[in-house]
Amino acid sequence: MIELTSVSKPVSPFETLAATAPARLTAGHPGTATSEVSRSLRHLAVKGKSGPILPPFETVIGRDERVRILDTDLAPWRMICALRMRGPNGAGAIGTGWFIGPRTVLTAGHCVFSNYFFDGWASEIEVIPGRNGPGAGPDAMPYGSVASERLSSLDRWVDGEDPDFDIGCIHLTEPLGDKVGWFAVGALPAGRLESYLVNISGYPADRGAGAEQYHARNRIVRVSERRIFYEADTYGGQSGAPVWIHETEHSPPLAVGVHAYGVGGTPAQLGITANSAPRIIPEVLDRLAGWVEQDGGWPDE
Amino acid sequence: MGGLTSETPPARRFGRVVDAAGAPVPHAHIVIAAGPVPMPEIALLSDEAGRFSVRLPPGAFTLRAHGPPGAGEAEVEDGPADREIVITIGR
Repeated sequence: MIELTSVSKPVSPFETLAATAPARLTAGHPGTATSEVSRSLRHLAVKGKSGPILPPFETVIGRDERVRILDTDLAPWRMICALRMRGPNGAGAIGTGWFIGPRTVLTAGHCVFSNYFFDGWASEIEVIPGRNGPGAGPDAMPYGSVASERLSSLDRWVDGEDPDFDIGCIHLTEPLGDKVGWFAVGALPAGRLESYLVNISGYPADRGAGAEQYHARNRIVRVSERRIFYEADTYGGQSGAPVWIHETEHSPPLAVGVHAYGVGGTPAQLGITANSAPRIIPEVLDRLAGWVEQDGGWPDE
Repeated sequence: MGGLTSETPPARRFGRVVDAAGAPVPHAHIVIAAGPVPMPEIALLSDEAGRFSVRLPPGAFTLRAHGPPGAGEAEVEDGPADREIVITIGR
């Protein structure tokens, strides 16, 4: 077991850094907005496990198989948010986040804290659920846009920017998650994760200038103690996107990782070409539950 | 495994995104396309004057920019912090 501590951007001397509520699986919620079933989910999302792992076929690995999601006003796509970050040094950047609770958005650690991009904590992050194109109208921003209230990450990320713990959290004042829903999150044993087909959806810079959501799917090719490696295509701007599985054909999405790195983040000794995410391990899940708790918790708790 | 990790972050490097005519490209997206260490899949944004900045650890990196005129790359080697990175797009 490793010890992980939640580290929050200090906002007042009275802020609590403690995280509570240990869990192995959190419950998702489809949101109170329309319950119409997404055709994209039905036809694009992959479910269950893959066949035998074949020899590996780069961030975009082989042919670019990313597909634009157009019905981003429906679940689960509306749970996924375009992020616009700004650092105290004035630096701007884009990334992706996703709801894990009514007021809690998960993302990559480097989207909230980075010595390399922001000289520390980001100053502010704009969160745009289900963004669907340029502009600020209701078609482009079906659920509007909210600003971060507070930011958190893990001590292993803030202290050393360790890629295995590249996970961050955006706390909101408004319970926008009640409307758009949130992902179930699971800390699954490595052996159970291997060969699952995975889905990743986020806001890449090379298509749609970070304003259009793109989905990719493929298989998990390796699971290490703290990372998941997969062949699904991604690009800069998708940092923080959810990596999720459907355990069966009719299972709801279950997030198991936070996309953070392209192929350059895969250790050479693994001998694979894959993108990767820090895994949701039990210690991380405990911290996520703590962050949601800080924001008022999940309903019926 | 270490990522963009060092005891003291390296000096900040400054860059500009320009079009084929040399005019600045505002709101371009810049990604670290290749490098010797794990590369976070974040995309930086250029300001109104096409400028951006980033700290890079030692080694050779490829930065790629996307904007209305198209895309372009620049190879970035270790060098003095005041050596500007220029990425030309839409050539």
